[in-house]
Amino acid sequence: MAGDRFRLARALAAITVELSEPAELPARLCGVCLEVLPVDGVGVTLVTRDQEGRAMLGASDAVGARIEQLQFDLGEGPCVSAFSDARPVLVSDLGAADPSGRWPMFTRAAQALGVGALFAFPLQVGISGIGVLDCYRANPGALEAEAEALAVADAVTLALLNYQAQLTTEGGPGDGADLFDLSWRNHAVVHQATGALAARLKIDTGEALARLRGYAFRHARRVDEVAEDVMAGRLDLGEEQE
Amino acid sequence: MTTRATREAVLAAAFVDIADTMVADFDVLDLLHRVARHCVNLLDASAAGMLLTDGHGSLRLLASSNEQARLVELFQLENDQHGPCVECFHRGEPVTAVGLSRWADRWPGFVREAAHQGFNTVHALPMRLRDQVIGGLNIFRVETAPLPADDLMLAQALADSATIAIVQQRAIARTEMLVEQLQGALNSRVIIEQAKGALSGTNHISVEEAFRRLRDYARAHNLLLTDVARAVVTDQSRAVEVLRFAGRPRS
Repeated sequence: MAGDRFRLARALAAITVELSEPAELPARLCGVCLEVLPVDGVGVTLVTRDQEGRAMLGASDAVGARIEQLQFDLGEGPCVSAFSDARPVLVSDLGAADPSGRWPMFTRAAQALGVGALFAFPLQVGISGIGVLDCYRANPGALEAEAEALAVADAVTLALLNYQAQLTTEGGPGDGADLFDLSWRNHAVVHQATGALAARLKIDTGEALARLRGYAFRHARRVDEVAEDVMAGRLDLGEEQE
Repeated sequence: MTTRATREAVLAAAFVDIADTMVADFDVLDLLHRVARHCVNLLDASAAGMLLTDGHGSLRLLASSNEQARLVELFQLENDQHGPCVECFHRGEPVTAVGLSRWADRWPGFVREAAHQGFNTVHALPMRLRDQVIGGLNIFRVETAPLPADDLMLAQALADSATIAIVQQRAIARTEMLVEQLQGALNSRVIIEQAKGALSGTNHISVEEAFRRLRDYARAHNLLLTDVARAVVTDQSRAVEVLRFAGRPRS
C-alpha cells in the first residue's frame, strides 16, 4: 500500500510538471490517469457552464474516445450527470437495470462497445466545474480506488488551471494554443452548424443543437458528420423537422 | 496596562476577531487595521504598523495604529528601503532593534526618522507561512527596552493568524479567477464558432471568410471578438450589420 501511495504521489507530480510541448498535455494527463487507476481506459472532456460546449481533451484509447463522443452526441451519460450534479457518478455495472433510467440511449450504446463499468469524476474547484474525467472498465465491478481517483481528478484540474495560468502570463506557451485548440475533438463544426441553424430557423442555439442531436440519433450518425452536411449545404434540418 | 484577567479576555476576543475573517469574504485592509489596533491594546507597544506585499511583490504600508508609526514606515519604504521592517521581510525572520541610536550606522535614515517620532525600540516580525513571506508586523516603543518575551510571542501569533487568513484568501481568489478564465476561454471559442456558422450559413460565404469579417468588424469598432460573436448569434440585425460593414470596400 505504501508503494501504491508513492506511485500515486509521483504520478500526480508528473501531471503538473512543465511540458516541453503543449500538444503533449492531453496524452500526458490521460497516460498518468491510466497508470495509477485500476481501470481499462480514460477520457477527459472540458465542459462549458451552459454545457453546450464539450471538448474532448483526450482519451487513452479508442473506446475511451468513443465514450466521450457518445455523451456529446446523445447529450446524456454519467459524465453529463457528474458535471451537472458536481459530484462523482459511479456505475459499477452498466448491464444492471438502471434504476434511475437517466441514460437509456447512452447505456445501450456503451454496452455495445463492451463497456462494463464507468466512473465519472467532475473536474472542479468547489462547485465550479471545468470538465469531467471518465474511467471505464470492460468488466463490471466496483471501483475500490475511489479516493485515489478523486485525488487524480484534482491533480488533472490543477494541471489544466496551471496551463490556463501559463497562457495568460508573458512568455507562456509559444503558439498560445488554448485548451480548446489542444483538445483532440473540439466539435468546432457542430458549433458552426448550431449557429447556422439558429440563424436560419430563428431558434436559440440550445434548440439548434438539440435538433442536430435528434437528427443524428434518428439516423444513427455522429453529430459531427451531420454538422458537416449542414455546413456543406447538403442538409437542411428546417424541412426535415415538423 | 490592563489586569491579567481582562487581558486574557481581550486576547481571546482578538483571536476570535481574526479567526472570524477566515470563514467569509473579508477586507484585508480591515483585518490589518484590527491587528495593529490589537497590538497596541494588548501589548506594551506604543504603536504598530503592518506591511503587505502587493500583486507585484513590492511592500506597501496598509495599516498603522497612529500617525507617528505611519510616518516611520513610509519613510522606510519610500526613501532608501533600509530599516528593520524591510530587513525582516527579506530575511523572513524577526529583527529587534533596542536603543535605536546604536543602529545609526546600519539604517541612518530610518534611525533619524524614528527618533524624530519619539521611538527608541522596534520589533519587526515577519508575516510568514512556510517559505512564503507576505509582509510584516512592526511594533514601535518609546521605551529603550524590548517587549516582554510573552508579549512578543503574542504579537507573532497575531501576525501568524492574519497571515493564514490572507494566504488562504489569495489562493482561493486565484483559483477562482483561473476557473473563470478557463470557462470564459472555452465559452468564447464555442460562441465564435457559432457566429462563424451563423454568418456563413445564411450568406453562402466560407467559415474562414465569416471569421475574417467578424474579426475586421471587431477591430474597426474596437470591440472584443467574443462580444461581436455573441451579438451575431443572439441578434439577427447585428449579423446583418457585420456583413454589410464587411461588404464595404477596404481602403
